[in-house]
Amino acid sequence: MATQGRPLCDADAGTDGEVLTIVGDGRVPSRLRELGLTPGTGLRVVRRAPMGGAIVVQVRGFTLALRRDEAALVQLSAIGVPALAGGGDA
Amino acid sequence: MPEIALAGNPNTGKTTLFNALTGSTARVGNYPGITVERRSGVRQVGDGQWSIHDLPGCYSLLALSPEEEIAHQALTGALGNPRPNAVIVVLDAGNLARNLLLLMQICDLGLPTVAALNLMDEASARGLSIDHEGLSAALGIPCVPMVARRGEGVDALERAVQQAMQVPPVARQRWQAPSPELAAALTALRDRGAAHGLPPMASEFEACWWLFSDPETLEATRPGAGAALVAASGLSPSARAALRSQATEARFADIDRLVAQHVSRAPPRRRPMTERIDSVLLNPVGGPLLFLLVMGALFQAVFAGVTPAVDAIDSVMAAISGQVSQWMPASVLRDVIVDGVLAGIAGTAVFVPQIAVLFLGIALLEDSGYLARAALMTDRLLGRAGLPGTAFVPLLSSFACNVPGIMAARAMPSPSDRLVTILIAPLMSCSARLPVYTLVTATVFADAAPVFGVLSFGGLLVLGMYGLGLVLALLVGAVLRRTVARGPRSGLMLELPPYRMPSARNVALVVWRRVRQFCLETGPLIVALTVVLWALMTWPRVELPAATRAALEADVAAAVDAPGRERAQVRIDDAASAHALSHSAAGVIGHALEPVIAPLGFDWRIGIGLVGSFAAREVLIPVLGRVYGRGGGEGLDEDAYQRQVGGALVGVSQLTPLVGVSLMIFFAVAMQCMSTVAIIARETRSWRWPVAALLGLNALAWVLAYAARQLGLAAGWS
Repeated sequence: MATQGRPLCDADAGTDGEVLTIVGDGRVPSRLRELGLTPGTGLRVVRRAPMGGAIVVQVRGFTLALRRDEAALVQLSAIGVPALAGGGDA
Repeated sequence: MPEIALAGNPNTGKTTLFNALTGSTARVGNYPGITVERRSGVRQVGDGQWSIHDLPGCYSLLALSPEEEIAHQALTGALGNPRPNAVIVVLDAGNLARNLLLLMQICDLGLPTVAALNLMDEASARGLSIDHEGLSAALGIPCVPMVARRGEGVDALERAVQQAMQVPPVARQRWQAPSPELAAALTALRDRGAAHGLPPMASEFEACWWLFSDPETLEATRPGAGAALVAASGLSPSARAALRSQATEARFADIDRLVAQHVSRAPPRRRPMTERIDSVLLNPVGGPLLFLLVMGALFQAVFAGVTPAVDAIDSVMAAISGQVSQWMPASVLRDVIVDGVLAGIAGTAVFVPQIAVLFLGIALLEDSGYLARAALMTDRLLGRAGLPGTAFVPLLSSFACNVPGIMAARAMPSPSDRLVTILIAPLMSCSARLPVYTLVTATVFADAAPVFGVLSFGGLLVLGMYGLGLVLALLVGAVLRRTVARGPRSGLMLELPPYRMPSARNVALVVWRRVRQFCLETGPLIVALTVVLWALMTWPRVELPAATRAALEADVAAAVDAPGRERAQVRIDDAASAHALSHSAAGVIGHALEPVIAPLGFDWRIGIGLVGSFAAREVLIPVLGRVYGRGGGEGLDEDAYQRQVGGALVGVSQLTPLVGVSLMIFFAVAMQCMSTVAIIARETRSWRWPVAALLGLNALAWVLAYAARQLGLAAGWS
């Protein structure tokens, strides 16, 4: 299955996107799906954490931190950078 | 007594609700065979009582590791838990889209279930309004809105649970196989499972649970089941994983519909508070600085802030011992009580301030939400030792004292991460090692030329010991990860909860439970070990030979003035004490150790010091003082006594600078502390790990001290 999305680990802070797919079927991808990162779910990259580059996203109304290698499994589609004036909904 | 299980995602206020339901009746135990805490308490309900069990927080019943399976096992009546009479599932009302997955899985188990919609205040502050009646009707179970922190809704929850146990609500069976392939796979598994030794599957969800389980995890918890699953399903792991992700997606589609129907959202007025706080606390520059500040303050509080309390406990215990010595006639019993039992109680009590302060700090950090951010920022650093960021606080506090540090590892969710952390924590140079380092550096390096003209050589050496401990901890951690605590590094996938004001009641309960548990569970072990050690250093009792005593008594008679007589009398006591100690069992062990420690440059006197300092490392100094016939330092100021002991170390035991270095290395690495042994035994619920750590670390200490000495000798030092 070819994925044309962009991996979440490459997304910059402030990026809005939609989950296209979660790559793989190990423990981490299974957990990511059960945390609600199912295809079509909107998410926003809030920031990159200091000291190590973990990536902090808002998804389904909560804040989730992922390691770089975990974020690499999330393929995003429909990437857009929202208007700078604090986008209301998460 | 009805058994009520409390389940929920992490960060839903589940523990707050547990505290609100059970108050101070809660007891912390362990699930058999695994180092995961099992918390249970009792609630008075009318004339009866409920037994309430707080299950570990989890996101899904479909476990990905043995510890995640606990919730499922507890709910289905495995693990020595009776199948609960009812389940309370705690949900974060502001976060239903994620929380509903677990609730729906639990509903599918067919137990009387009640949903506690907690944190309603936060949800409405975020502009959410939840139609809980509509949600109840849709799910077929009562959904009780509440704010557990303020006790709101607890009575309504109690009524709902009572009703649910009388007339079990019929939860809508929401689970449906989303595709014909999955339906076929489930039917096949239910039909063929029994033939392969799998238990009968009562519901579709149970069949699902088996189908989606990780064979390795199953194998770890129920030997044989993993292979049976693979054989019975007839599907490859990737086919099963594909079905699993299909099922999860179908669940979330269902959840999205429910949320769309029953939750409405007014646009928030402004950027949420948590995001604004995070932009400071997780700022690329400010974040690490504030982190250092917070952790520095926590460390300082445990390291130095407790000194007045420890001193007060010491003087109270000394006063009690003094009183008991006066009341009781001199006898073996008195010595056992004063020098054994009371000393052991004092040895336990001095840890209480550290434990209380550390857990106060941890509870505040955890309840406020900062601990998750701290774990996030240290995740990469600790990744080098194969550990997650949650190991940071236990390892940091171990620099103050290994005992509370090892206790702090309880907050770590994964048992294998926790075991590694517990086993490497003793390598952090605790404050009790500092007096030993100071003794050596003040004795043999006081006159060493400063490095680069400004840095004290002794100071650098002490710093080196801290560094040595850290480096070894990383190495030992990496080795343990590849041997006894194998398995992938646990994922981060960390939820960052909103910042919340910690509740005083919760924090006080956490501190109280930790202190109580330490005193009742680890205390008796420390007392027992103190009595044993004291007995080793006391028996067999050998008096000073008559000729020696006569010669010393002649000195008393020959003294020209009263102070001279007193000094001569003290010399008799010191000589008797030295003689008794070196002929006691500990003395015999010290002599027996000599061939083992001679390659490190230590004589039998230092050997006795190693035995005696097992009570606590800093006790090395008074034990050596007694061996050298200088008494226990009574009536001398610390520096003067340290100089005397140091002088004897050089004069009698031939301590050279090189032997001093190897003594420091030995103390930096060896597990020379019975309280650490006791706490590891308690925390891992076994004697295997403390004994392994004791033997392993002491062997490592010997090897490194030996290597340092040989290198030094080869380089021409002495």
